[in-house]
Amino acid sequence: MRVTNGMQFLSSIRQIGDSTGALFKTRQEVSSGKRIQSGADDPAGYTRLLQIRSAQADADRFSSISKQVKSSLQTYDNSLDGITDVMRRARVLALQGASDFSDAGQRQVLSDQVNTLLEEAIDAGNNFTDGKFIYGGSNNATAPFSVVRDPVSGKITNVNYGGDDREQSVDLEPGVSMGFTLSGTEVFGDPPGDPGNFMGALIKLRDDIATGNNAIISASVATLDAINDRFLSLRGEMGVRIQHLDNLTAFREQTLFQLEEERAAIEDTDLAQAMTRLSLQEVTYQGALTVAARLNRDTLLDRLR
Amino acid sequence: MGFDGILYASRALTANQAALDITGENLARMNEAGYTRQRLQPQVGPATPLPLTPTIGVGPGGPLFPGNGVERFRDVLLDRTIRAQANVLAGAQTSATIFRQADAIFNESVKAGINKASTALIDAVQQAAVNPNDIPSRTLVLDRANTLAATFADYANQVQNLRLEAGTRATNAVTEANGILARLADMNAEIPDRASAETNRLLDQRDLLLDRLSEIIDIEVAVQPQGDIVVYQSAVPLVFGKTARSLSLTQDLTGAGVITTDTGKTLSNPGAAVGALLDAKNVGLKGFADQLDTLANATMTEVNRRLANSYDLNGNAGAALFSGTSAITMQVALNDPRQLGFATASLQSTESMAATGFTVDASQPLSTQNANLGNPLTAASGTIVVNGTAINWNDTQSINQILANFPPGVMATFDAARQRIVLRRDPAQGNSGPDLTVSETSGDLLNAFRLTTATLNKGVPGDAGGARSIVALNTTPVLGVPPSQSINQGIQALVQSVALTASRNSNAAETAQRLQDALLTEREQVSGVNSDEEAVHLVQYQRAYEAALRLANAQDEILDTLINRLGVR
Repeated sequence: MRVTNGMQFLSSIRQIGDSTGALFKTRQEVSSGKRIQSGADDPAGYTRLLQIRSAQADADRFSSISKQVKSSLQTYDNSLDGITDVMRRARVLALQGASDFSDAGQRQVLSDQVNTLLEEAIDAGNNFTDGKFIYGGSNNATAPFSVVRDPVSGKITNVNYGGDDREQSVDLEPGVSMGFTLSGTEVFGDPPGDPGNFMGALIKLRDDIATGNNAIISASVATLDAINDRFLSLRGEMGVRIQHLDNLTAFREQTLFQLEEERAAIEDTDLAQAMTRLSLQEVTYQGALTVAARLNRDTLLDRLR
Repeated sequence: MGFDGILYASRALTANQAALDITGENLARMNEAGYTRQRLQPQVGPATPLPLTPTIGVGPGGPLFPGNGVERFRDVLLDRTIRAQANVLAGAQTSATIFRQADAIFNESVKAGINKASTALIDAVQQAAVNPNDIPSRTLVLDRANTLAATFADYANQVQNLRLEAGTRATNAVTEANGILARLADMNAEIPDRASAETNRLLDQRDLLLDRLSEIIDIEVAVQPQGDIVVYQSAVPLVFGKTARSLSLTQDLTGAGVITTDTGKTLSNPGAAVGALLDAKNVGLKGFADQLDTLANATMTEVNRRLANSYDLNGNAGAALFSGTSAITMQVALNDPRQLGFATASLQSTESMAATGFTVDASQPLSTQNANLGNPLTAASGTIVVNGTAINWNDTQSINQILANFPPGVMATFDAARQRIVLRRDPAQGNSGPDLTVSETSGDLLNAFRLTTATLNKGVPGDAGGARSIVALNTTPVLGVPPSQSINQGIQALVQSVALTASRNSNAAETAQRLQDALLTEREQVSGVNSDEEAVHLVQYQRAYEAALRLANAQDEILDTLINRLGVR
């Protein structure tokens, strides 16, 4: 093989170029902490990276939404707790009102107390939390319950519901949605006239206690018990949904952890391995420089006299 | 015997002097680009001495005559291979450079990116879906939409700039090629058909020009018997004799670039850098630009459709969020967050379909349910019109079967608990607006399921059917015929395609470079200068020169003896 000066310099320049290129890439990896700087570095890994990031974004979105949904469900749970308390107090008053030992004066006091509970129930029905009336269904910008009052006594004679029955739900993930609202009719029952309507039952109880019809008052207790069962059922449902949400969150967190592990394996630099490679490449680079510096240091021309 | 010795000495001196000059030129120009080493070719001339012809390489002569030329060490076949590879390498390197820039544009490693902007918009709509009447949540949707539109436009502008830059580079390259072609034609006239140091200098220049030209366009070179060359491209002669064709490039952003000669011939496959530039501009980058347009248009169409098929906070059909016809022109058309149509319409039967004390089984034929219906059927068949679409029914069908025939965009269900039909607008389907209408033209199917007089629920502030439909776009296939990819998947596929193209071209350029390096090393072996070798030749010619000088001195002494001393007393 005939070796010329040009070949030697050409080869040396290429080797220095190769060494510099390898060093540059490894230094980038070490200083950025990322193995993949752009898609062209590892198209297959990069594709998987995009999928993982998309899945992480979905998981983050789920996390954010699930907090809001859980908060909403807890709001309903707390509200139902308060409403159940109203119902229990009403039941106690009903039992007292149905007693033969109550005189007219005592019944009026009891009736007034039931009226107070009715006002509390209306307030609970118009619960305004986080910018919306929570029992309005999807029509939640205005108070769902409006009342008709006796012009003389000022007492509530009728309650109207202006909300709707549409449950608001949210898509936690494709194909999995969860309702996070309860409508006024779901909780308080259909409009007055329906025996299961809580407000209507309180109005009736108030008036029955005032008139002293013990048999009817006793029947109201059974009605209140049925309504209480509905409250308990709804609270149970809220609890189940919260539990479901917690389970989904735990599963998502586990998935998120696995995704993060996979992402790190694809994208992040293995520092120990990269530093070792960097040292080796520095030695190679220094070798290439040394060889270049020694090129043609001593030729026949130097020895000619 | 005559006095040939002094003639030989004289010619040897001349020849070795010339050889020393050539060796000196080799040493002096060894690092000059395109320089090819030379060697004087001494030749033993005819026995009969001829007049002194000291000019190198031209005349006949006697022994140790300088010869018929200066040999130029060049492998013509290797040159041909190197030029073919230069064509490949230039194309690969040009493509690699362009697609690396494209990869940088589409790099989703950084915190911004089209994928992130799209995801951020979905996130914002999801937040708004939880609180649809919350103005700050709606305003966030507008902000994120602005970011997405700006990102689409930014990407598209950068790709377009890259295409324009490729076009400019192609034009410049063609201009350079024209200069080289003209110079090659001139050189056809300048280069004599005899070998000399001057001739070799011109040949070196010509080879350099051909090497450079083969990096710009794919060429074939044919050397003619007289030493001039013909340069072809796509079988079209570009240089022949003293004539050079002038090339012109016609191009725009929509069509392919066309290279024609001044005689109107089209170069179908220019190859090399120009071919790669035109290919990148008109195929590769254009493909990315087209995909961006497809994604932007799909985003605009699908989001706007869902909004228009829903109601805003003012009770009107939602306004278009985006306007534009491409990624570059995409922008947000909405300023008022209240006008985002997030609520969907619903319609439900005004009363139970069942007679008091009875229930209707929606899965059974109507004929078997007649006794359970609130009003018995008045006909065995009929027609109802739902959102403008006529639905024919007959009593052998069940309610569920009839509902299944409702047109796209109307989600119909039978609420068994309340014994009522419930219709909801599916914002993802059709462009007929958010309303739901039902009328009956014949048969009076309980006056069309008791829906004809129902009051349309126009979507209320807390309803988020439209918003949820937009969130579902994240996973709903809307791209392709039939739709097979979501917009999110389309964006990922585009980014992946850019990455793969950049990687493939970088690898191709690296491979081509390795092969070209090997070929250039081969050429260097043949044509390069070795200083040690030249030093040996230096000594060789110097010694020969000294010997010739000694011969001349000896001849001189002989003549001196003969002329001045013979017979002299």
